[in-house]
Amino acid sequence: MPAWLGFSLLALAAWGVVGLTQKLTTNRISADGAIIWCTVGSWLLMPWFYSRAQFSKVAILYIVIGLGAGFTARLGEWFLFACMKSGAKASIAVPLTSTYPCLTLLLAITFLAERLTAIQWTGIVLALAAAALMSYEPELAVNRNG
Amino acid sequence: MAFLSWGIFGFLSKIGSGHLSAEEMQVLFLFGTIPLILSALFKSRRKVETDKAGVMWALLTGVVASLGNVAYFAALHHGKASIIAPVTALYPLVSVALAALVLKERVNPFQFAGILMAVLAIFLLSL
Repeated sequence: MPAWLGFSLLALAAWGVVGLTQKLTTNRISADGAIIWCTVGSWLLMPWFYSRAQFSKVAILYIVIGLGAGFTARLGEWFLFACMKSGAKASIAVPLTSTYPCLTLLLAITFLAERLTAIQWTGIVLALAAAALMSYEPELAVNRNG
Repeated sequence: MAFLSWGIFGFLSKIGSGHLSAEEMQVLFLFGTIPLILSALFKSRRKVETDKAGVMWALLTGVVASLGNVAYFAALHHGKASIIAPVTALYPLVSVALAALVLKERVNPFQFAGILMAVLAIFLLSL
């Protein structure tokens, strides 16, 4: 198994577990409380990560890019919450935003000159459709008033 | 805007992961989230909840999400963002399966079709 696939499946598994633990969290505390405590949890491993980092050898540009990655990831969550708070249906908003890899794909092909085979394109189209379908919950599509 | 932010997140992660280790990326990622977390804390003037089970699940969520991020950055270090972003976006595959197994939630027909397509997609992308 290629390294990229092994690590991708690990990320997929970990984030999949997060989907369940988030639900178990919000069954007990509010979404605001969950965000605060999840953030605390995400910082628990910081000493271990930091002990393995060597920033003295890194150009400032890549430090800014790494910070930007964290900022944009959290900003995306913030926009999704804001969108749903403003009345958007989760059944539409969540599947729609789950297709965000389209943009990463477009940027990677345009700026990083990544090239894909026909089989990879087929897999990507299937993956994007699958991500949207798995996030779709018809019962959430019912209007709150009726 | 969420679509735009996360799409850019994937792109920045790829560039950063080419020059930084996965652990270094995660350290910077966490620092990058500080402005928005502080803003959220400032806006929510509620008392922080301390339900033990809820807090425990939330802390576990944060730890596992961090480990997932590190694996994602490591994957980007080794492969193409154009493939890794769609593959890792299939994480609802695990969430839906666990919710069915642990919480006894029903898998709706859309999710079932999505699961089958996700497995096929991963197979095709691994060729």
